[in-house]
Amino acid sequence: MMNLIRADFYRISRGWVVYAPFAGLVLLHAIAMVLNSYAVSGTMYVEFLLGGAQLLFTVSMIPFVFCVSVPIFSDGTMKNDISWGMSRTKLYVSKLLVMAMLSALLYVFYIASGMALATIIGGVGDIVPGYGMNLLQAMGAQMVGVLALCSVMIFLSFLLKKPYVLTEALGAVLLIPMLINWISAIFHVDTSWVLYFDLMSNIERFASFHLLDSRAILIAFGVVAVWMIVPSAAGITLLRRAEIK
Amino acid sequence: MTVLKTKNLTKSYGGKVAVDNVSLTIEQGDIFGLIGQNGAGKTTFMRMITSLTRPDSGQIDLFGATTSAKLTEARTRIGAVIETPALFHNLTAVQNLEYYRLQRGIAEKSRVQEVLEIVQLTDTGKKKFKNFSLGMKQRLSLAVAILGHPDFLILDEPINGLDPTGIVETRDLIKRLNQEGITILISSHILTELAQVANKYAIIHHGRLIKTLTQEQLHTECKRAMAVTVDDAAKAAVVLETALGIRDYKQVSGNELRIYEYLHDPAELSFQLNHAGVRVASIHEVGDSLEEYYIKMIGGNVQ
Repeated sequence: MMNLIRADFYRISRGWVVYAPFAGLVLLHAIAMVLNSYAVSGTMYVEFLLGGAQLLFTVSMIPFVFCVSVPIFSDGTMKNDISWGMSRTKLYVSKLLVMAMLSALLYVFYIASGMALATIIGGVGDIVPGYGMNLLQAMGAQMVGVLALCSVMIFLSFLLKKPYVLTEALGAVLLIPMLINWISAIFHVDTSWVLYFDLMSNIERFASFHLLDSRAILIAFGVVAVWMIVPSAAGITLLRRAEIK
Repeated sequence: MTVLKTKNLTKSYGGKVAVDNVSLTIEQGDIFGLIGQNGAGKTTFMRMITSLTRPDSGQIDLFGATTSAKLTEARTRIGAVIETPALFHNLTAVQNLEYYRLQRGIAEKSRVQEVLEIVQLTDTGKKKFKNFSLGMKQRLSLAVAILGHPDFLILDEPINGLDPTGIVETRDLIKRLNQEGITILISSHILTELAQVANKYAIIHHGRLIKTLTQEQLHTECKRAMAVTVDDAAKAAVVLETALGIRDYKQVSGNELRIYEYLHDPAELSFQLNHAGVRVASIHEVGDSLEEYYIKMIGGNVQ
């Protein structure tokens, strides 16, 4: 497994796509600073990053799928791996792990670079007692959500294979809660309960982790766990049965 | 030692049988040529051996492994190029090989340069795989296949897209790899090429294995000869030996003799037999190339 992961990191690092999300997030921070007239402090900006800007972070994860798992379909290299005797499960899990490692790294970069930039420009801001612990809890919980999102993204890439179809599907997954909100607002229907089962909404909920009660935490983690396990199990089953082209 | 043994291997697609109860054995050191038209089932057979396609029924024994887990392990001893060459489009030759070297845990870094020299692709520099010619792609795929020192090489139409020089080089390379101890299963629809490298053949037609034969058997079957039908084969044999000094002949059926010498003068042959009182009913030359033999085997039904 380590060999597969090492090889993938070697391959990915040869292209520019893997660096694009990092550059994109720096740009996001810069734009945010400008829009706030350089008057945003480190703590305020981190609050924004954990909450409202979460969608921008998850969108920036998409290029990773295109360099981690899509090429084995678009370039057709999967047959080299399988014919050499690599187990299909191992192949799937290795792609998932590479995606997870990259996304975790990106997430830490997202928060750390944003905080650093905002602190340099607008100062640290108000630090309430227990701020560090609250931040770490929120980041840890959101990281679990990000890993579940990796599971969904890798599953969709193995299911849909074609890059353009995958882009549309990933967009749909990320925008579903927003669409539900809009539709419910138009028809005056209360669909807020649906958002409890939505992965993106749960990731956002984790931004105020220290404010959640135990029951809410348990439900949120339960939902995230389902999002993590079900797509991966489905993806592995799909790959084990697939004809490799 | 048996490298591969299949028993009643069968695969259908949507009710159409692609491979039908194919049983064959490949021994260590063989260069085993799979012969068949497009769609005969050669690639599907190779895909099942390499686990790209799961068989509907039948058994695969690879290096003695028969269970799913053991087969997966045994496949690490295979190098394969199935159908079109497939490598990462945005990587160079060296980068592609380095990727597979890391992935397969091959410790010797120098192996990348070694295989590039073997397939003569050392001068591709920063050119990416997507910009390679088909011949270069074929050669790089072969380099990946031999990267891990495989014991068994499976090559599906390896000379497709190669120029004449490339074909000769690939042929020499296949022979050299075989001399180094690698068993090879190769398919090609260019039978003249296959005839020059393989030492065993299997003819597949409409998914069925029609015939397997060694190179010696093929030579015997295809050897040029004079087929003579006479009224008395025993008497004719005496005439051949005494009057014409012919020793290389055999009786293939009751009244038919197959004579492997004296092909230059059938008139004299006929005259001598008649002169000795042997009545010649027919006399004609027989013998095929692999191509002709194959067409004969499938009943001349080439579409």
